[in-house]
Amino acid sequence: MQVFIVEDSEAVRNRLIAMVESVPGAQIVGHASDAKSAVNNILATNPDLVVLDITLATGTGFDVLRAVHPRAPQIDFYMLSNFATPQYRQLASSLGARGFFDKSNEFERMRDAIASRAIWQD
Amino acid sequence: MDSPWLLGTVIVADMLVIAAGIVVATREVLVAEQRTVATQARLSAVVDSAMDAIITVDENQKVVLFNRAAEKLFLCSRDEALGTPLEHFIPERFRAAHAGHIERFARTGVTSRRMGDVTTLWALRTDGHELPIEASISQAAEGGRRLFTVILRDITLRKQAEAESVRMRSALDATQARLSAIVDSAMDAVITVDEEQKIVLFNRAAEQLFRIRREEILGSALDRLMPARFRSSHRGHIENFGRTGTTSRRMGDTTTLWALRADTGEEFPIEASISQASEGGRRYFTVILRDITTRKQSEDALLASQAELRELSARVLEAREEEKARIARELHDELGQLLTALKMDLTWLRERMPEGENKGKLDEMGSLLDQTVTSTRRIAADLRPLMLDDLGLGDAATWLVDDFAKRSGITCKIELPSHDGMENASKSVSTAVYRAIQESLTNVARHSGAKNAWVVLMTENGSIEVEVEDDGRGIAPEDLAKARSLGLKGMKERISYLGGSFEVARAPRGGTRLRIKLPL
Repeated sequence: MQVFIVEDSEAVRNRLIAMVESVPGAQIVGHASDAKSAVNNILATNPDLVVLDITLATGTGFDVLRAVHPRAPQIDFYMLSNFATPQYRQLASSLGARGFFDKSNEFERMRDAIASRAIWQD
Repeated sequence: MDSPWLLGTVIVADMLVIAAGIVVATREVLVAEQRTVATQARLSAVVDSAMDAIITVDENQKVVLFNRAAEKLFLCSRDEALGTPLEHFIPERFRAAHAGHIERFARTGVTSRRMGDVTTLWALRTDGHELPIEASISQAAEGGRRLFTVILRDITLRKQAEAESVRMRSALDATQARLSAIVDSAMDAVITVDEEQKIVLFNRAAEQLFRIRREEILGSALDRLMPARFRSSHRGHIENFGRTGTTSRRMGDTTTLWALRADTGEEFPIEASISQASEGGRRYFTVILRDITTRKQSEDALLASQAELRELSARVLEAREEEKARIARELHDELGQLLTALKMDLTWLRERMPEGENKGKLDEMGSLLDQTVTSTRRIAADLRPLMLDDLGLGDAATWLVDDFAKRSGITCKIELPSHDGMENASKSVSTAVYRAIQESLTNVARHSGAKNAWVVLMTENGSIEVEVEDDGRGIAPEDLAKARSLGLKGMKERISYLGGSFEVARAPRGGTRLRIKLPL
């Protein structure tokens, strides 16, 4: 299963990459820290799953969702954010995100979700 | 010579003729006498019924006729009066002069004339009282005697009336002089116009204010003192005012009135009141006015400085808001990400740590880290709800209300417009609305003792309306003015700077209601 990481914080991004790579059957195909390069690279690499932060260096994760999801609805988006209020969850879901995880408290849950998704993929 | 008989006959005949003549003559005399008596009686009656006193004296100035009116006037009966010298009825100080006057009058041979001419004549009543009189004198010769008749009347009442009228006139003159002096010394310009709006009064202050001499302006149309663009409407106003019958009122009400200096044509702002009064069937309008140039200048300066202050305070608020947003972002993005990374590492470590005492320590660290994350998010959200920028007013307000309900224990509901319409709201408008709701809810929690609160957002015709209501004890009017409602003042300031309206009052069902309307 191919995973793309969109995260502007290097510290977090590195840990996400390590986390995904520790999941059996999951590989990182690319990563980005701003909305524009995220859109381009996701469309170019066509991953199975994107881990998407909301706050980016420029633009937001919602911009990426809006641009990519209609064109590549087969890609699953897992939002990962420190803004885990119902309002953000609601917006993410309405834009086509598959999951929404609180960056600080639901990190493990996301890893589990990625792991089960990888098993299902195989 | 003829015979004596003949002579005798002739004599007899003559005697007969004479006798006959005597008889005839006697009869005529008798008839004439009878006539005279009748005439005299008639005359007497006329004289007696005359309203004026009539006194006739002979050449020796003894009274020979004294009518009933004379009796009444002098309090003296005819019997007492007849034969008395006229002097008796003249105050002593005039007696000598009077005798001279009568003699001179006799010599002139003029039949009659008015006595006294310009001076008042005085008569003496038998009780010693003096009366002012008016008299005329006439003279006639009768049977070789010269008789003088005086017709006179008491003019006491007329004199009194005249004196009263003189007194009143002088009192009136004094009042008018006093009034004129007041009007002239008034600090305010006083102008009176007649129905044709021609100037009939123009005091000294008016001369100074309009820079024109009274002589030059009296009789001119009031228009001369008014900028041309106001003339026709002013005329209408005056006519309306005339019709209302109101005695006086302030002119212009809320708008500034303008007048014109006569010399330079310079316009200046005035404050004026108008009054109306009818005088001799004509209507007069009096305008009292003053130059408010200085006051207007200071008012304008005050308004300008208020606007500047408002702008400044809005800028300060804006800058504060930006500063808070920046700190909130940094807390979220910098600190938040680092904490997240730390949390990830802790999780990683925990999974690779063998079971034992150290694991408990890691759990403690984990929960400490969770608390740190929660605090950081709380501080960031309090500083600036980033949701407002990311998701817009509707979501941010909903989150605010939910969070408020959770934190305060007050049931709070929010109603949003069915179709949003708020997405076009500028950052400053949505911030103002958000902060207003936040401030109100803080007040509800602190002061109201309410169990329920309601927030309603509406959009209509390019404006946004916000209502925050609670079922608490209701705000007291004095609380609105209190220093602790600085938050309210700041809110009001911000709203009015954005061109909106702001109102805090008791809600109809009790509690307090805040209403805000802002152009989107």
